[in-house]
Amino acid sequence: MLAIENLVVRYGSILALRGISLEVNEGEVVGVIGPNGAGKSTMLMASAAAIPVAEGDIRFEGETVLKERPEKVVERGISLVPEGRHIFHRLTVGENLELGATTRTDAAAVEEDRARVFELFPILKEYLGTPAGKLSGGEQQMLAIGRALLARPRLLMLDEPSLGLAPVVIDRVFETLEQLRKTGMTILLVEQHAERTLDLADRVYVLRTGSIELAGTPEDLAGNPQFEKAFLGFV
Amino acid sequence: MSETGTSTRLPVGGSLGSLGVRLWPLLAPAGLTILISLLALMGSEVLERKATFMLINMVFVLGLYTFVGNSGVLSFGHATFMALGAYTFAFMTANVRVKNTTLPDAPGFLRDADIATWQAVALAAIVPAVFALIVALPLMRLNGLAAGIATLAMLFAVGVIVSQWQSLTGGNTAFAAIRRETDLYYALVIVVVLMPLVYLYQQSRFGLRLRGTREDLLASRSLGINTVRERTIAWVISAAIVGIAGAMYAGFNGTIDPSQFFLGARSAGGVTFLTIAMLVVGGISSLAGAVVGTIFLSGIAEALREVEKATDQRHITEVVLALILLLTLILRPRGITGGREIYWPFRREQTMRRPAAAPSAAGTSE
Repeated sequence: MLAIENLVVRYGSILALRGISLEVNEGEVVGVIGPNGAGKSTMLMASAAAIPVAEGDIRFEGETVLKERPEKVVERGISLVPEGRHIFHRLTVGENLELGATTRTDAAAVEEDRARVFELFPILKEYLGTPAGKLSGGEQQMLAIGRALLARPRLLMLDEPSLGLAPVVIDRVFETLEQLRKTGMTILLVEQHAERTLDLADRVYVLRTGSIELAGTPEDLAGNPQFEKAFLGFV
Repeated sequence: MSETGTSTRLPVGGSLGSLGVRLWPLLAPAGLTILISLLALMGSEVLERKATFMLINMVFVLGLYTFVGNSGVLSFGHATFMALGAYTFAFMTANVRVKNTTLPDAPGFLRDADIATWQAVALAAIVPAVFALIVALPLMRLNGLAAGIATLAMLFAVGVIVSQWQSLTGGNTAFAAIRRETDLYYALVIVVVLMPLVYLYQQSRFGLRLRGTREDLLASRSLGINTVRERTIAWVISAAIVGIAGAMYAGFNGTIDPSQFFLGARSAGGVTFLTIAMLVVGGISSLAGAVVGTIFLSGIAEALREVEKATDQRHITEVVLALILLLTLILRPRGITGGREIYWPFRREQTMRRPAAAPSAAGTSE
């Protein structure tokens, strides 16, 4: 579904990504883990056509997304939940959700999707008229995910959804992702939380200083001493 | 909060009473404006002229709000649109004999133009709107400080052109004998027509998207909002409204010259400073803020002018207005209204508050 090939991204003279390749198949949950500054967010931003790419290609359902305008990428079915949630603080929860459906023209289907989002996050329905900035961090993360779902993505990309949240709340977020996976949603998840990502994902890539260091199923990685030393030991 | 929860949006049904509650953010400022205008009508002729001038400023601030309030991008250049509107109105309505004498080198269709007032007002909206559309191409891509400086550059550039193009505009000499039709009724009708349009735009999906870009550029981009397009729409609507303010002003004063619109030694900030102060003091990001700020500062400015006359001291007004702006920025940066609309005060559940029983699991983060 999504194929990243030899992707190179530069910020000035800094090489953020040094030619990474990665694949996400339909219906799969793929996790990308790695320390701060490994290039995880850069990879997602490039896939959302939000930053320029120096070399390589990103193809979605066979066609490149490079040089596509960001709104066109959303229309084609890729939604990004950015790191730090980025909800619209002074707009109400309802307005935040409405903006999630910016690229849609099928009002009736949007209404159905709204109902589905409320099933997933009943809390959002209660706070519809409340400014989103008044929600707690966990609720804001749910709003950010719900908002992204209203674009009816075929690929949902999440950038560190657990960032800055209490452990109980992180549990809730990952439960939700599990529920989404059961609906057949294709998910590309970037996380620092290695253990939880291993629990959820079908396949995992390990990114470090702009290169993919390891890749495999959670079972493969869990048995890999290099991986255990680097990640699980510290979590 | 109602069952549909979209309580701040325009209603789709319900009784007349609930319609009133829903439209309160529009009805409250509109009612306040009408009330003050009617009170002025009962007073002296001087008071009536002061109120008319307040309404002209209000149209400018409504236009300024449409762009600045919804986009969060500050503009110092809107007086450009006022000037374009004022000169358009002047060319279309000024006495033909006077125009032919004072501007013998201007194109014939401008010298001989003499059209109905409402047509001239419409043209005074269209000309700045077209100009705004053209300058939007480079301007609307800029953010933050760069955008503010660019709008200021636009003001200076057009100011130089208007004041130096002797053969067309008469340069720094006053453009006289403009049809004087702006009185309190006329100004009030324009305000009462424009205010709902400004509110409608704010509540429309275009206005909502633009407010989204104001809140968070990254998020709006990730949702597929085209920031440049949404800003351009507001910029052009805003220019048209401010152009109408220019037409009202020209028809109020009877004569215009560049110093009334552009920054220079004689104008001391003039309309640019005054209108930005009105919007900021009232509250940049709400219609209520635009209206309350205009009324509040108009009242203070007119009172200070009386003090100036009585004490024979000039420029007291500018100094005090600057102080008020400064105090607002320090003590209440979101303005008198806090950048919020005025909601119906008697509703049972407040939309602005969280429901009392907040489920606990999600509430423990951060």
